[in-house]
Amino acid sequence: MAETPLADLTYRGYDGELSSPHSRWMVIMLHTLRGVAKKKSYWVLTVISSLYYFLFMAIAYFVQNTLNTMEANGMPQGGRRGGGNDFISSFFDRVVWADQFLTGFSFGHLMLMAIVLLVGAGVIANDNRTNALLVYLSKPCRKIDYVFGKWMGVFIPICAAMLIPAIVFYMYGVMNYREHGFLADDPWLGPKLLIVISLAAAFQTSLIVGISSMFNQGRIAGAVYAGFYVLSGVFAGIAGIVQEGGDVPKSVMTMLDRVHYMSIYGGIEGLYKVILQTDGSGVPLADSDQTIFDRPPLVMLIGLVVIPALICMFVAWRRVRAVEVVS
Amino acid sequence: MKYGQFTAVDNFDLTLPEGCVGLLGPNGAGKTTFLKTLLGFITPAAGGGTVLGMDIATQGAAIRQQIGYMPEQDCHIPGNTAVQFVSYAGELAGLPHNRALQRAHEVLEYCGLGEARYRNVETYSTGMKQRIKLAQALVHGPKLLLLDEPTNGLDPRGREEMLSLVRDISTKKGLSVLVCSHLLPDIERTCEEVIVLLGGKLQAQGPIRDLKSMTGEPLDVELRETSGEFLMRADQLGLRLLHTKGSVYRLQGEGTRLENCRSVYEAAKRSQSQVRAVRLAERSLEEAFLEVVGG
Repeated sequence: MAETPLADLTYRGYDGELSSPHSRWMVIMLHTLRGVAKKKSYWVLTVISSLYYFLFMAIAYFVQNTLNTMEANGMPQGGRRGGGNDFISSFFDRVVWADQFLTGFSFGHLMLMAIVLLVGAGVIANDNRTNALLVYLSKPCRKIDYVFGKWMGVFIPICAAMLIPAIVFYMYGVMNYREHGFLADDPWLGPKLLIVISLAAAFQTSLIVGISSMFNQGRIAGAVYAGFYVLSGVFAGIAGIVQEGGDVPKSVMTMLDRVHYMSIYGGIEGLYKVILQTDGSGVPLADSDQTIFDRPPLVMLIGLVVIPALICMFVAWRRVRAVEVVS
Repeated sequence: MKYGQFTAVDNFDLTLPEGCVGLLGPNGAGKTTFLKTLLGFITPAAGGGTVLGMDIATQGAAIRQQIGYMPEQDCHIPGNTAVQFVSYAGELAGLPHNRALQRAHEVLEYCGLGEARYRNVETYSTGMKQRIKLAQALVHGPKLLLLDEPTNGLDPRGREEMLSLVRDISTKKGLSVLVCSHLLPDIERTCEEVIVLLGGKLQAQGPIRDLKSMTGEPLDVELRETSGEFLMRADQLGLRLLHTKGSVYRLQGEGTRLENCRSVYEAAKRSQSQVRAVRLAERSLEEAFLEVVGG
């Protein structure tokens, strides 16, 4: 305590430099990021969510080596430019490179949902539970700093979990599969990837931050988000089941195409399809009779992605009230 | 200051002196609104004010950088140890990361949490949570400290230690402190001055000594033992008995303080009584407070 000579020496006034009260959101963002980086489960889930890319790279490596061996032995081979019928020689013919990123997302989307829950469910809810707003807003920290700092602290890890594997795959493709049309198919694939992944991460971040702000327990906020994710996915999945059933009038088919995107997963899939300008050919190893939904119209996509995200951010904005700090 | 049509604080003109000041008032008196205003959360509907020379209407963030606020409710950053929490609070206030960490250790040591600084704050007892709230308010070296019910939920020993700490901060560390409390003994123990609010209006302000002083300057005379003879002699010398408590008599005379003292000693001499103490009588702070708020 203060009475002891040792303790009395410890506290002094501070006359050193204090940074400007502006841009406090960076401090909040960095603190949130430090917390995420310490979670091993974040890294594990990120690796699991990117397994498709590694799997595809392994298969493509095997196919390429086999093709090289065939060429060295003077055996006839097809390939992208030469055409061919067997699996190995026609493998690169069937690959649509942009689709691999969509498939990569589809393959790991449940892991990504888990990452969103891990990173974002408690981001404001836990602060509500411990009255942390009293600490934040009694410092030179404005409401915009708090909300934006938290948003960025969630956005960056989600974006990184989606972007880093995609970039690794993209770089691998650029280095190894240019002769198979990796760059030639779509020279703007790289920037498009950056845009679509940023938008997808921003969409999920806005939803989870908004939901988190409504509760006092991170696990309840997480359960609500997960429930919404799964239930909306089931609802949208019905469209696929009905379509696969066949014998559906064209007008109903169009409607089913729309319904498919009315979920969190569907919204992100729609973003991938619209921005990468693909309908998604699925995994090149799979049968070709899988259901492929048409690209959603841009207006519908804005309604499905932008409006819910804005609503959630509005909720978060309303829930954080500086004037309530002193109660 | 208004909430919609309701005027919470009205016609309020106040200058806070340096040192330790107590903020008193019954529920709904406007204490909370006053604190909110100092923190820059509420802009006055009319008029204005400055805190540490900064305008409350336009420089809220800059004001909060120079103020340390210890809230009444439990609050902490979830999942953090005490060092992480306090150093983060320092960073939020504008300290560089390394400096904030260093200050966090210093402040936690000062607040008596040196041994527990690496424990998760959620495992802390009520007393420790009070101290860490104080530590997070102090970490950035504020010029003004706002303490809202600092002894809330503390046991007698914890309360004693917290009050010592508050006293130490205001007297030895050169910080101005504003203590908001319902516990008058806490205010009396830590503050030199008080502000009394009632119905959104400033009811009284000044040194506690002045608030407790009584008109007419009566004297408390303590005798070795009770004496009717003394009272009779005192009455003959013009000293009126106001109050008796054991062998302590509160007497009031018409003369000056010195003349009344002389009369006391004369009465004691005539009645062969032994005077143990003579002091200027004063009310308790509670009595003074009740009188000010019309209780």
